[in-house]
Amino acid sequence: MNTFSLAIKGLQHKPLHTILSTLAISMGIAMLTSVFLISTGLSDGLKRNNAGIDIVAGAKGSPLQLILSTIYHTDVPIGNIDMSDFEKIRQNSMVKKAIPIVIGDHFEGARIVGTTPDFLDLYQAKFEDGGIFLKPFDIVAGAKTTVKTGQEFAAHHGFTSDDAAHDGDIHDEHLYKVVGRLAPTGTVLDRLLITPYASVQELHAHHDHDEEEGELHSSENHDKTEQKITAILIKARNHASVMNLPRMINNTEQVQAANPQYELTRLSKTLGIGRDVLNALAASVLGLSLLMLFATLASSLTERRHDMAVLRVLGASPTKLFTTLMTEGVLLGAIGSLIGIVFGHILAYSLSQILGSFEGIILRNDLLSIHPFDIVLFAIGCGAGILGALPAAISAARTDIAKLLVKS
Amino acid sequence: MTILRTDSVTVQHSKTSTILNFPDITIHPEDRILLLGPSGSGKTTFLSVIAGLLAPGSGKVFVKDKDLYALTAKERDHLRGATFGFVFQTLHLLPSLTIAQNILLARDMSGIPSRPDRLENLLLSLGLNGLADRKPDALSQGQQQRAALARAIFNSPSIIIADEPTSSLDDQNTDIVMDLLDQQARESQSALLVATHDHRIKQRFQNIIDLTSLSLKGVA
Repeated sequence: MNTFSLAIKGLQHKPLHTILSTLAISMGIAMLTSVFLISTGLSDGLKRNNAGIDIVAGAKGSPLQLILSTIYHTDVPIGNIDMSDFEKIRQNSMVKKAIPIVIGDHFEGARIVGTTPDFLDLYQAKFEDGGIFLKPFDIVAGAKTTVKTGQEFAAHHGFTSDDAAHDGDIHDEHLYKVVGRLAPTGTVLDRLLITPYASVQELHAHHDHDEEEGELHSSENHDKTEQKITAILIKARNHASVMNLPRMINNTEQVQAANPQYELTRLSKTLGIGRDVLNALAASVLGLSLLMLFATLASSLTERRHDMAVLRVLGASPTKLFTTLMTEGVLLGAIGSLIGIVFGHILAYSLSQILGSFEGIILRNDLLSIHPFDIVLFAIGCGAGILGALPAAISAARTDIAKLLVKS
Repeated sequence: MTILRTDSVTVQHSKTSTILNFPDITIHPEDRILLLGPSGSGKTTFLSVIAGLLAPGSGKVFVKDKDLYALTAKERDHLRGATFGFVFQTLHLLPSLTIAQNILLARDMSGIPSRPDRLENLLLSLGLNGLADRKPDALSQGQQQRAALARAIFNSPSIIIADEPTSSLDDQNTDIVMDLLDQQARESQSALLVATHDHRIKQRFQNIIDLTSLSLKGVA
């Protein structure tokens, strides 16, 4: 019967106390785990998907909406800009690379993005089979889309399959053909169908719907010179250009420039407040579990005072009693935090489903795999156990045996 | 050879501030000593002092010629585990451990190695065979008492100390327990020190230290 098995016996003796204290620690740790996983998953995801884009130019409106809709493909676009604006910006000396994108259709929930081959280079995409699109209505499919190479399909109007406004609205006048599939990149590209921008423009030139915000549409005379695009993804020549280009672009009448870095900083500040609130909540749950541990171990010690005296009489040192009770605390903390970490991962995974608009930005499978921070959380849980056991352990070590024996 | 010797031990009572002056005692191997006195006369206090659990106000305790309170706390704990076997009035078997685990605490807490068949032999000689894996509350009162005795003598202690072993027992069981203590002390060649207010067992001892008339001195 060593210290460890004595501690185990001590815990087994009051199973209900043990289970409740363990659960209390688990809850605190689970909350900390899930808040951490989701917030880092989100900010990592936002960074990873940024793809080195310095500036996005698009229709005037909310800059954040512009960024979310054209880089992260989570929101609907604001509107369209003229093709001539693209030409102007592309020829600007401050621009290193300008990539046009046109969006407005989807197939089975995957957005169809009309663009140039440069778009694929943003994500260092590699082909799994097939190759790059060569003519309009060729499709290069992201790794997580449902289409196969060689498959032909008609695009659906709108941005997602649950876009009720466009349900059943199909561009069956022209079929797309998949000419290549990409290897997974871990970015939003995996969920996209890429095609030359001319394809989307052509489909929408024949479109006779009323103008709706965020949709491509052609003017009534179908004049090719008035072709529209949704946005321009810009890589700037140098740091100064990143500062100066937006100023120049924002001076034009129809086009605004948004800096993804700046908008995301603003976004994560807003999200950060929520995260801080949740973290504070998790910390208070952990604090509460600590108090519960104090009470549980203290009451269990009161019941076991005579046991402690017996151990002393049989030759155990005060240090031995101290380490026995501390071991109980550490065991509670360790088991509690392990359960909490596992539960926290599952919680984060389920919560990420609710965060639908950020789907594809957070890598959901990452939420279930072990994160280095789990070790920190484990240490926090064990620390809570140590702290919770400390008062009882000190009092056990100080047990006045003579007094206990006299009383008996 | 003496196992234990006390020299002018006094203890100040914590509440009444009176000073208890204990008589000097000397214990040799296989001595049978009765410490007699009514409740509150300081019997358990004296036992605590000679076992190294309570430092005396003045005076000295020598165990195997070592000045007990000149040792470090750790050495004292170890010496206690090796020298004394305690039987308490209330039995103090740990309820969360089996009978075997309870008895083996004597080995595990003192760190003194034992022969592998020690436990089995003890259980057999005390009529506890077959009960090793039971919890204490599954045993009768008498069986629990014997298990506690087994734990006390597990390390073949030099002195078995029994504090009020019979006060809650009827005459018949008093005889059984005292016979058992006597027999086990003889088998492990231990001295036996019994503290009690129970006059029924007086005739079993030649060496009686009566604390009834312990001189109580008021304190300045």
